[in-house]
Amino acid sequence: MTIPADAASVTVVRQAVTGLGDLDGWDPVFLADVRVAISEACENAVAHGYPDHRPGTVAIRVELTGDGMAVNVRDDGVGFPAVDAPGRPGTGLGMALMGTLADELSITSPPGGPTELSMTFHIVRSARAS
Amino acid sequence: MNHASFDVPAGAVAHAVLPRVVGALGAQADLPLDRIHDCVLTVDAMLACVDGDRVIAHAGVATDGIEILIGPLSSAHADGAVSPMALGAPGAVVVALSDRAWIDHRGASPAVGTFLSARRR
Repeated sequence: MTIPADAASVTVVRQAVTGLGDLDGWDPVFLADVRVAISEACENAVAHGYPDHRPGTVAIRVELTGDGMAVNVRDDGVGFPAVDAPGRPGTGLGMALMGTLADELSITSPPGGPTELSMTFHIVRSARAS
Repeated sequence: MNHASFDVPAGAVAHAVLPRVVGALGAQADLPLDRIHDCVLTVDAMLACVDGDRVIAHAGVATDGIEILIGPLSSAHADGAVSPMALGAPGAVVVALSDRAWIDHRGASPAVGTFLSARRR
């Protein structure tokens, strides 16, 4: 899916993920974790890829492969600052959070962009679904 | 204005994802709850008209509500998708619940088919 680089649009992504989780019988805690992780990734893309409310888009791809899920969030913005970059606050906690919630996390962001963040999850389904 | 574009597998995934998304956009557009329900029903009816393995959808908050485009449609379904006379067919639901329904022929490739849209009454 593609959304505009606008914080309000992240709600739409959360709803889409919730629909997918309901369909696939995800455990509620796992669904909540995925919602947080994807929201964080999208909010990072909006805030850091397109600073000062400059226009742009964020593309989110979710791929289910049996018990695994790959999530890819890409923006064509200015690039993601290094976690320890001086004068760029607010870039560390979100990455740590995503790193904790996802099984794998990787990010490529050359100076000037584009930025591509990938996460993988092992799907936890509720006992009722399985 | 908030909007989103989707490319999702047709069938269960589209039915699980798109109505929720449109409902969220309807809420952002300050639609009353009954109209949000109408939006969800309309999307379900629109999805029944789609032809192919994947659904291409675009939904956005417009000045007076939300606009939804869903496709591709087969040429056989295109007329029925917005026909109030097709009793029991999805098109009758779309027309009954939306302010305006039309067939969109602006797709980049004729192979993609056509789109339909519904707005707030």
